[in-house]
Amino acid sequence: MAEKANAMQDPDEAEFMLPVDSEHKARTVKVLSIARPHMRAFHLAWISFFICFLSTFAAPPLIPIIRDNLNMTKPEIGQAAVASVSGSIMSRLMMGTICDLVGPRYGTAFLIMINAPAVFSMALVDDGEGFMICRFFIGFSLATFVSCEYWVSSMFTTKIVGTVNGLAAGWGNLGGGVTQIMMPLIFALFRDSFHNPAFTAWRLAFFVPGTLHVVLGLLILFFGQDLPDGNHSQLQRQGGDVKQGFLRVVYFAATSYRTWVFFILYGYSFGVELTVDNIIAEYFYDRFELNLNTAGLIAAASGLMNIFSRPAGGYFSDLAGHYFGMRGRLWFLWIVQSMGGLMCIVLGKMNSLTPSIIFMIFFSIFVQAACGATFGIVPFVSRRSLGVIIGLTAAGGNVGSVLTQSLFFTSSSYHTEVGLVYMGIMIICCTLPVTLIWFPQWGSMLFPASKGASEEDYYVSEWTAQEQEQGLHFPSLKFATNSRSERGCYGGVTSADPECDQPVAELGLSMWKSYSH
Amino acid sequence: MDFSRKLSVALLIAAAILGLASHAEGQVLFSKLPKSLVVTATLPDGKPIGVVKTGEDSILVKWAVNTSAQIPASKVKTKLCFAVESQLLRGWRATKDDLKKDKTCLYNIATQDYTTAGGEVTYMLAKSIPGAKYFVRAYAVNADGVQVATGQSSPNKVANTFTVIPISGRHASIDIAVGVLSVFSVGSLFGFFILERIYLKRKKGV
Repeated sequence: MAEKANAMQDPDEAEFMLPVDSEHKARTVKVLSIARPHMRAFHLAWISFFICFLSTFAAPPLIPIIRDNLNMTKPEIGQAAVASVSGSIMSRLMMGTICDLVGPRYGTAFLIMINAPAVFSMALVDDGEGFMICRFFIGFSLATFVSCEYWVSSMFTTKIVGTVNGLAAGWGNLGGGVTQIMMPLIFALFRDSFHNPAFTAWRLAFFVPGTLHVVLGLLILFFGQDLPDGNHSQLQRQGGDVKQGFLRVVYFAATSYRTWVFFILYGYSFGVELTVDNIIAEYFYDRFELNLNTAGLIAAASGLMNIFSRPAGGYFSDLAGHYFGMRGRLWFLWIVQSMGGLMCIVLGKMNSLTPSIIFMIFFSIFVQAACGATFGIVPFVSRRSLGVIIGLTAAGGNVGSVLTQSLFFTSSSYHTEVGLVYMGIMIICCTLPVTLIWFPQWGSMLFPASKGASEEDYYVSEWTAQEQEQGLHFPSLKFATNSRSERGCYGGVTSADPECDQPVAELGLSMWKSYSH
Repeated sequence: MDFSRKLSVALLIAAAILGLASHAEGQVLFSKLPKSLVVTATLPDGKPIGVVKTGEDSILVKWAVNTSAQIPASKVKTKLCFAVESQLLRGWRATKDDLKKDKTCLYNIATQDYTTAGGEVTYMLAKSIPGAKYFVRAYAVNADGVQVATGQSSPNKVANTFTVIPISGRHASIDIAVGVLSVFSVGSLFGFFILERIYLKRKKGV
């Protein structure tokens, strides 16, 4: 691998439009460019994730019309909303492995093009059951989060991969907001300009996200590329027993308690964001007597915060990590996510329109920032099992959404506003486990690091003695050295960390100190 | 310090005025409205309604005044209202006594001038009306639009209700379009995959 890089470095430097590192991963990100292969991959990745959010949450803003057409009851609507986020629990878990096997280009294209028929089928449903089944299958497409992260991480160097991931994930999540404006407008177009009855117009509206699935899928197939040097199938696989390695990776991920803490935590930042995407338009429509377009616009404001709040969450997590090390990151995550819970409680207690909108926006900003902050810590939990941990955390997000929707927004026995208060309380309670996360080399929120523990010990312990003899653990060693920055400038242990003198602005580009797939 | 005090006082007064204003407008409670109107809903030929279809069938709504007292009404609004059966587990159709918050009657039939002789209207059911069980209610409103009297075709929202069959919203053309686009999506994906495999094999072979 090293020889290959040396041999190719000089002639290929000229080949790429962006400056690249030794693996030909880009060292900067130019958002307005579509240079191949890096920027093209970035845009294809985040736009495909955006479109999947668009189609998964295309139904909620139209629920007031759909519930009349299909004669649905509140429990049926709630069950469909739960179904929409539960499908992707499984698909997110599988997507990491699929990307490993066939590459993110095929992984994404397969998922969104096979999912397109599910989106189109929404136009055919006749009752609550069909609606629920359709939303269940459409929800599978949310696994594009994993392929988006994977693709972007393959194209951008470790120093900026965090920022680029925050941008891609944040802009992808925007789909949940944009759809709340877009779908009522498309519905109005089909109903008023094309003169269809309301019960036909909403069905026709679903052709738009469905077509976008097909178009994006084709664009990815024709213009996408897995890696800077070519496609997955063209590059050699490293030797080794693939199956045994895979089982070990899953074992190390599943047996670390930190994985499961994040499984729960992400459910109460990303999970509640999904829940709110599902219920908020109907809440404003019913409680404050707004029309469909206005309710959709307000609901969209929640999702649109993603433009800056998720990347900002990651950035400030970085800042906290720079000054206070991992302990700073953990405190930041706890504070931001608990504030999100508080805002949710207040939102449920507001009885008039303007304060409700204000607190909904605050709530969205805090939980989305918590999402970004979560992925400022997750890469450090494990180097070897990173893909599986991302998949598990992402799946946990959906489980949290399923749980909160089933508990608080499906039953007819209490109103949505009461459900919001309860959900806020649950967020605050379920954020407490972050106090349990303790790294021997960095400490936890309440306890310091243990003396003598090192990053190398932590990351190398994921490899068996046999594997270490074969030298398979070297990428982890490299990562461990880079991760020393998580000791923080004021955390204590290291005396002269060169990074501490760096101006803080530069750190915006080094969210994840090291993550290479 | 002084300015902020003045500001708080001003805000308190404004809030008080707004509070009074909403109170002054007054809530109209359904339970307090005199039931001075008699409303019947039948098929246009006079037979009782069983099942009607939106977009195709019409109903004949008649209202009459059954009190000799003077009612200060200028218009009569007739509306289609949900029977109890269709309100179950559907909070967006809930009945509230305060008529501003009441969602029982969401669909307008007609607005006519109030006369003591009564009136009638033949109404073709609009395609936007959902499938449910309904009855008809009439409100006599005064010049300000405030309800002053009411009457309905069903005594308790259970008896004497009729079923409305809605349009499905589906068309054969939609079904066909879904089929074609789905096949195109999956077909082009696998087609591309296979063609690329063949292309790469050929490249390797050469």
